[in-house]
Amino acid sequence: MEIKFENVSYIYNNHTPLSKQALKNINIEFKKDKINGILGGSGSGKSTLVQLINALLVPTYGKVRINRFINQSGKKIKDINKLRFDVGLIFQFPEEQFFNNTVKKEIIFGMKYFKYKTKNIDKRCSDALKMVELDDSYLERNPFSLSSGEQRKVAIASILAFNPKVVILDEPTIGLDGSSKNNLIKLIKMLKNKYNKTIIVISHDVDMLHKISDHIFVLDKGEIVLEGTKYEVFSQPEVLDNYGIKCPKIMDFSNRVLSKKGIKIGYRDDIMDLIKDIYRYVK
Amino acid sequence: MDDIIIIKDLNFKYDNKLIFSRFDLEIKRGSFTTIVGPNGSGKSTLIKIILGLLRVNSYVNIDQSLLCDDNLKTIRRKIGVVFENPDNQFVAETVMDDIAFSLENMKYNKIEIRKKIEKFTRYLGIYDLLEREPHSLSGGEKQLVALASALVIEPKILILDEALTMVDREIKEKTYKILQELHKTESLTIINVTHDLEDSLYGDDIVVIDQGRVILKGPKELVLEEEKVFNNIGIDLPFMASLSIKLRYYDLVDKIILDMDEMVDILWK
Amino acid sequence: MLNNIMIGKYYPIRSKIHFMHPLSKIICTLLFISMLFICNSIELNLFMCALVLIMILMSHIPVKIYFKAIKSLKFLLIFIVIINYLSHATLEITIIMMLRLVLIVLYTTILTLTTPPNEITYGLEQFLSPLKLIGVKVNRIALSISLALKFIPTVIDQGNKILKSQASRGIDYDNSNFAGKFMAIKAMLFPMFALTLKRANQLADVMEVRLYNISEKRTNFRINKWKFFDTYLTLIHLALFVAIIVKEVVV
Repeated sequence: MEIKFENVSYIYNNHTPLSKQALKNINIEFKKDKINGILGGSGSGKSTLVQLINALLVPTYGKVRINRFINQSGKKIKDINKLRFDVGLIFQFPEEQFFNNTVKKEIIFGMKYFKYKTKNIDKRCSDALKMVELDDSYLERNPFSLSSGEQRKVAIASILAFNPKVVILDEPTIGLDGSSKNNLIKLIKMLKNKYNKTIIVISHDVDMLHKISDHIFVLDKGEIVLEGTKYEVFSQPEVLDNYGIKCPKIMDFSNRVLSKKGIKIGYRDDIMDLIKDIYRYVK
Repeated sequence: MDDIIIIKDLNFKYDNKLIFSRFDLEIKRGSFTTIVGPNGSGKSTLIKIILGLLRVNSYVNIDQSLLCDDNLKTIRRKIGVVFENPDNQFVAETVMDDIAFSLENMKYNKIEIRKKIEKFTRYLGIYDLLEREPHSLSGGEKQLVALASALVIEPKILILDEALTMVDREIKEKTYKILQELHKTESLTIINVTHDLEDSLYGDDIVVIDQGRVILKGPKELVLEEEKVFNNIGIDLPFMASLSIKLRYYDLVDKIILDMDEMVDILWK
Repeated sequence: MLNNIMIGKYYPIRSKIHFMHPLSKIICTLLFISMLFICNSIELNLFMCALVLIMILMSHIPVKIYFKAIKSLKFLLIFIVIINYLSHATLEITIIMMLRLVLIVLYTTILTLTTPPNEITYGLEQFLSPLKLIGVKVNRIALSISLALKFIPTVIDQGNKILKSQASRGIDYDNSNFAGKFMAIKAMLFPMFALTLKRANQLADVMEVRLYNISEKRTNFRINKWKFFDTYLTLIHLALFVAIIVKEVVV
């Protein structure tokens, strides 16, 4: 599933006194079958960027290619429903949209009442729950009685029921405590590794992005200012500082050892590996 | 140093669920305490009880006043609160009117109100935002306005109820620096409620709550040693604490070091 | 879809109308609406139009914003035309009804655009205060109205957000038949209602903790003072009101 931005700009309320340019000349391509992280402060344009991928918004200039779909000003997308099937977008605090009294109804609502022709609605529902590691015992439970971590999983399942090839998550771990957060991180990794989906995650939590991202895009004031693997991006603390972004603590440590003592201990993903490196370099 | 908040034998039920049973807590005057616990542990309920938003029959003493219907006003004058979602805290159409709100309710005169607003907005660096509409501000600016509204009444106790969970790290660090300064210069008692243990590094003491009970409390250097306890309730240790504990196991350090630069210096003397 | 309702959204700039005391604005609004219902000729209604236009210009708020308020009335206006046609009313009456609707909305929009909700509360309280003598809970009523006004734009924003995220779940208002549209609205209203209620509760807690007491006097830090312009404009409205009564009712 190719997702490519070509010279895309977006201006809210164009041609009015309240106009605001949210995105300037974006030229990027998201990596297929990988976890793409989008990092940036508030007002950087992150939410606008992802809404252009499932055509909730249309670019003011430029075009977005999503496989065979083209999202461009002036061109209406035929079978836009198919696009929404293929690209699942999960907003912040998705559990705020619940309005049914069972998990099952919540998940299948979109499929049951609208023109999307889907067979085996029940099977899709169970499969979606399995993808978020909840068993069928949750089907008849009231979504409002679940913990916030479980609620978030159910909201994600309602999008996964369409079996999208691309899953976009806007601040998926916000408001969750330690164990729910770790659980969700595991889930996102599984969506990529086991179900081969292309994932795009927006977050301001650098430590979380460090744990899951293969490729990271840094947005600031509507422009892509940095992109690369997590090592390439977070090994530049001085550059990131200009945009008010801090490094993940585990990489910050290696950066400081390098800048203060001139010793390059390398970047590690796991704290135990870091300990081994420290041990080696200290002794 | 005496206790500014004393809770003895608190019992509280909500919706037929037992939230607190024989719960005790003391907060020392002038301390900077982080109250931490997983979601559902009762942290926010505790704050609501302290603020008198939930009525209880147990002994709650705040700055030498017993919490009861007659004392609510006296007690609330001494507590400034910042809640989690800034959008749900704004009561007026401009920043200036929002900050003035509490002072108007306390019947200060217009000149005093103006003076206090100027003092605190200049201190927090938001003086230029006075005529702006609160909802039009960025996330960080909103929380600073909410903080100004809490500080302008010159409270004895400042409570932050998950106030910095939705804010990004740079603004968080900036805000905590301001809080640490206030804590030192004004002897302000600060209570920071959070589920993220990294935030506890900015304070001095930690109180850990789970399922309506205090399971750990004390200075942060001691509390952060208890890896097993935190694992059991599903809260991750802060990076530096985790690193210190593991390095100590290999005899590379001999105590918990929470400052990264200090750690680097100690390891490579 | 929900963008164009401009009720309750305060537009903060400086103008003679913005600086008026809220009580005088409320008195003028009520006098205007009363006058409007007594005006039974197109000429008088057009005269009222002129009055409204002058006040709109004095408010220094771009006319585009007022247009948005009227745009949302188009269905109501069409409805009036149809009803009048079916009941064989004259063209004159139809035009007068339409003008009345537009003018009332415009005038009250001037009020809400130039007066922040807390000032409206204050003005209403002052206006209704004589009723306190007969036991009416004036403060409570004024607060409810003012909070409702304050919440409308927030609720609309929330509704838009929910519609967008429902679209991602396949709940698509635009591409559905009637039954589908009904389901989509249900899917939006329930969470919107729940969220608004949650917000309202949180706000009430905040106000209580910040020592708000509905029945106590408080310093009103920035309520505009009653100045000469207030007396001037109120007297003009009063004079017009009396003149119209004399013309339409007495003669």
